[in-house]
Amino acid sequence: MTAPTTPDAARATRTSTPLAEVEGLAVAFGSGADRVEAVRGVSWRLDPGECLALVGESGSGKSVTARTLVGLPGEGAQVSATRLRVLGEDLLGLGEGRWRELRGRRVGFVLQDALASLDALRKVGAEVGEPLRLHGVRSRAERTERVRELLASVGVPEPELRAAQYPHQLSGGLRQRALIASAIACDPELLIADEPTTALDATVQRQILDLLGTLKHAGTGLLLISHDLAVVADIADRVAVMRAGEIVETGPTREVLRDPRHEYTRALLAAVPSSRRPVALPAPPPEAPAAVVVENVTKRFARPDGGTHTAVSDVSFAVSRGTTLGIVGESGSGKSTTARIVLGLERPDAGRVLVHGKDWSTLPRREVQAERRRIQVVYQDPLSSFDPRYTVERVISEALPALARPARRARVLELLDQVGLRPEHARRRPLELSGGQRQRVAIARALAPEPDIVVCDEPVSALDVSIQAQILDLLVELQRRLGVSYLFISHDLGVIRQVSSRVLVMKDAEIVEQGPVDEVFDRPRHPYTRRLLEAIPDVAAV
Amino acid sequence: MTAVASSAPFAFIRHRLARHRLVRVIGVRLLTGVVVLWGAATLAFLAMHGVKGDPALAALGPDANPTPEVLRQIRLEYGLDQPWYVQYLTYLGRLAHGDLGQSYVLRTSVATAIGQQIGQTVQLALSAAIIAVVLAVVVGTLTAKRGPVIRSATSGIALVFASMPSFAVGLALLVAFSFTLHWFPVSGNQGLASLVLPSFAMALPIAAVLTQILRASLEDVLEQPFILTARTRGMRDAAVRVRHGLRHALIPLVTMTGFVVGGLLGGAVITETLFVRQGIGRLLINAVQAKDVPIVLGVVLFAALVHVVVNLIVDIVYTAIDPRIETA
Amino acid sequence: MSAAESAEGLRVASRTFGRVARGRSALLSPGLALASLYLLLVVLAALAPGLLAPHDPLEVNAELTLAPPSLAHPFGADESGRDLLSRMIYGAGPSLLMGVGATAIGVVGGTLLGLLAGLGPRAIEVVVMRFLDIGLAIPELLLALVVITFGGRSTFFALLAVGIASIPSYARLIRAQVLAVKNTGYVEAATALGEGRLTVVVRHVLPNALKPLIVFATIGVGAAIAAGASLSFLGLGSQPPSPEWGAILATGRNYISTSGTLVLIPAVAITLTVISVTVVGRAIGRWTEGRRS
Repeated sequence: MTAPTTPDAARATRTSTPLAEVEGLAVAFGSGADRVEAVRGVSWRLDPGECLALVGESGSGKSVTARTLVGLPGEGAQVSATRLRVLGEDLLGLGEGRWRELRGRRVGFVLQDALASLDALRKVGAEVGEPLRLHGVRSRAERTERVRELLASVGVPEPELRAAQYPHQLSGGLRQRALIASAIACDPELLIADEPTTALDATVQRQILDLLGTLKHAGTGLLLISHDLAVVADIADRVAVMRAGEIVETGPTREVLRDPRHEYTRALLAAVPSSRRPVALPAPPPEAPAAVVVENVTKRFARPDGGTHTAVSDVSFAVSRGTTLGIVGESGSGKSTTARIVLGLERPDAGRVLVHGKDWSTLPRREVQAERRRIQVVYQDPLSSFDPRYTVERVISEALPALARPARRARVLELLDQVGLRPEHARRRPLELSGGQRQRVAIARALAPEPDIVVCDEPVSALDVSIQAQILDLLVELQRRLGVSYLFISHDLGVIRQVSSRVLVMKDAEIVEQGPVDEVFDRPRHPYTRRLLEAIPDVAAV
Repeated sequence: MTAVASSAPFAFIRHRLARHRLVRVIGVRLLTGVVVLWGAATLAFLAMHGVKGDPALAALGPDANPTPEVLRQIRLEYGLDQPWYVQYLTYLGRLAHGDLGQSYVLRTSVATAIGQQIGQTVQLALSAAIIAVVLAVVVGTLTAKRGPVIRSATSGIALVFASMPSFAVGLALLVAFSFTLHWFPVSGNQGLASLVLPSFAMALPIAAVLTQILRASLEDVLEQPFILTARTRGMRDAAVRVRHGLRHALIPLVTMTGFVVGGLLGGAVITETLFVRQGIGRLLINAVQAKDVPIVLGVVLFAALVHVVVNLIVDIVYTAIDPRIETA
Repeated sequence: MSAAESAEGLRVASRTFGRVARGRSALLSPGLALASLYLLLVVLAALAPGLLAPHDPLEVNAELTLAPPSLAHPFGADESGRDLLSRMIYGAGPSLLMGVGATAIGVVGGTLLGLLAGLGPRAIEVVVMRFLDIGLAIPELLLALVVITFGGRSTFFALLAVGIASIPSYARLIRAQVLAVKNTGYVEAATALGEGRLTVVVRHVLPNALKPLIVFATIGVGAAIAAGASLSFLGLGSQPPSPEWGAILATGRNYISTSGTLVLIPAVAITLTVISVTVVGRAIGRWTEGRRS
């Protein structure tokens, strides 16, 4: 560690040496007209044993800030700051060799999605042990032993076995633990975790957050990057909310979450699904007939090793007209296969699907084709569901019944208006639209054939929370106006609670519980539902 | 996956299953290969017997003018008096024993002719393959994600070599290194020196294409999160490229094997002609010019066999490189 | 046959180059301009050689035998004293015809087979795929040589041979495109909209699957020119004294130690043509992709 030389640094040492100090940080990419300032005038400090959370939506500059601290802001980045110190090292003008000593040894870094963040062609043990190898642990035997201890310490059962496996052979939770083990292998003083729980199921997310909490209590400084205020609520001591490269609000977590001063923070908090109280859902018409009935449906797939995998097992439910049935479950629970069966894109191996009393599984293909218009779909990734050659207008027109050109055009504009898009969007190509706008186009297309029911398969999962809220509000509003039913699929209980009148919980291909939404959420009967609900990070709990 | 992988005995069974799958995958590949060879042989049989009129006349070569007596003799000798399916089965049976028939021109069996020439061509093809792969890996690894100058320069050079017909590459090498610098002999099969120019003439165009592919895939890989993870552990750039990047980047290269084998066999035809070397390529060209159909079809069947065998080996190697194949 | 002459190689190369070059198209534009200019010249020479050529390409002049380049004969003269520049200009036509004709055969045959394999019923798919497997197991040059063995040595059979030999790789490409498009979200979305199978195929699968074809076909022309020249070089394509680039080069080879220009000029002309066609093809690829993004 370099001795403090400047008066500023000396003063800082006298009070308490911060793990990291950032003042007036600016990071820009490109030059000339293409120059983008990803981070502007960002300042914060992190003290030992403390957790600071940088929270913001995509493009807020939070990840760039984190990566700048380990000298990896990205290709062609121009970094400037009035002060940029980590663990007493002045990062401005640090040589490559010194950077490498810092990385892995004194600063650990955890990325999201361990499947992509661990080298898929190397064994877990080799990956976890790599920082040890790089930072002086030469003996293989010693490394093997340390890897075993590390994996055990992050709660990986049977560490020897796991170390000998490849990342894809581990479950998502174990993989993420292994990634954390690799980051803390050299016992760093500072751990940076960039979206460490994104893409994990709720129960697994809970476990990873607990693990990070344990590390913090053991004295490791933690810089947590997240898009989700609820995730950081339990674990962060202080929060800095970032938007468009700047910090809009910073302070102790409790204060920021309980009493947000900046309107953007307030908007973010309001948009967090778990904190949003259900909007007044349109009351279902009394004795509403069922739009779709699913009876004892089972679907099996052949596995590559010759066995079969049951994706959906004996599932029955009904969606009443003008209401929303939410299906919630973690990945692999069979919810998306159920959606595809309802859409008639997969045929069930047993059981039947009745749309308006007609059994889809026995209907001839021609009639299924005609019936399909009554049941439409909105996917998680709308972009891939648009023909890349088409403009928005053509995408929507395709879903319209045969009409004369002027009538068709009028209808497209009407639909765009319904989903909150302007007429000029009609000429654009989906690639030129933002994620939220694309999802609006997808909704407009789904509504174009005037369906009775729309299947929404994780429609907001890829969107930032503030956009999520807008899309959910739009869906509810459209239901009120058009009386359309939704089969709404999501892994996010907050989202489900907000839009559904009835909910159905799936686990391992089966329905474990279903009922009116308040009943299931407030008085869950099945232990799995209870576990799911407990795992939701809650802003209100702070 | 979680449920199954969560305890040791189950993991063991999974492993056994994976092994079993590997065997099955190879079995399927082997079967496909056999079907390809059988199809190629059938087409060859049809070509020899169906298209060209009287096979007995054909068997005597294009310039023969035999008496009916001689023709009858030949029909008996070749079994041409038999029904077509007997002839077909006999043909397949002979093929299975490595009997590719008799050359019209060379007065030897096709198998012997190929056997005599194969050594020279294998030598040339192997050295060219090694040069091409080494060049591609070195240049690709060094130039991936570098500044625009290095990239434009290597892209330009790669474009030129990928576009040049291999005889043009060979001629350029000849003019430069034989006629001007007198470093290497102009032609022949004698010694290592005579192998250098032909090997490079064959290797450079292949290397150019492989370099482009390797570099593009390496650039994709270097964007992956696990590369960032490796860097955050304090790994140096060179080590990141070699230890983490290269292995991933080699996987798409494996799918290019068919192209490489084709490039080498095709290249051998041109290069052996240009450098006046002995080998399969020259044998083939002479046979085409003399309309020596059995030799031409023999070499083609042999090429198909090489393709099938090499691809089988590559599949096995591929499974070894990428552990995800087992469970994917 | 050079590595890149195999249509497959060029296709892969074009894909990677396309991606590499996308971000900095401005940097490549001088190259693109030069390539277009050169191609324009070649096309002009092919269409109206008489306009450009200073001499009769077949006129023998014993005094000029193997003459070095001079003002009157910028490229010198060949072994019979014929003006090389004129021969090169007259040679552009056959070379270009070879490129375009063979590519047309390959693209049409390949597209038909590829669509059959990608969209046809399972039984047809299996049969077509096995045929393609056989075709792909044999190097393109060898396939071309088989055609020539049974056909004969001439410009026509050389063109036919190069075209037929490239059918399997075009077919595989088209089938791969069809399968990729069939699995996209927008095809599923169209199905969910209640469109019939035929409508989906005509509206979405065909246009998207065939879109890269124009780029591959353009680049394929360069590959076919080089392949045709290779056959001439082997003495299996155009026969002397017809002025075809590969044939000029094949004859010039005998005089390589004394008169390098006889080899150098056709070799450079062929190489430049292949490069130019490739550069233009990639530019088309970038342009069509750019329009989407």
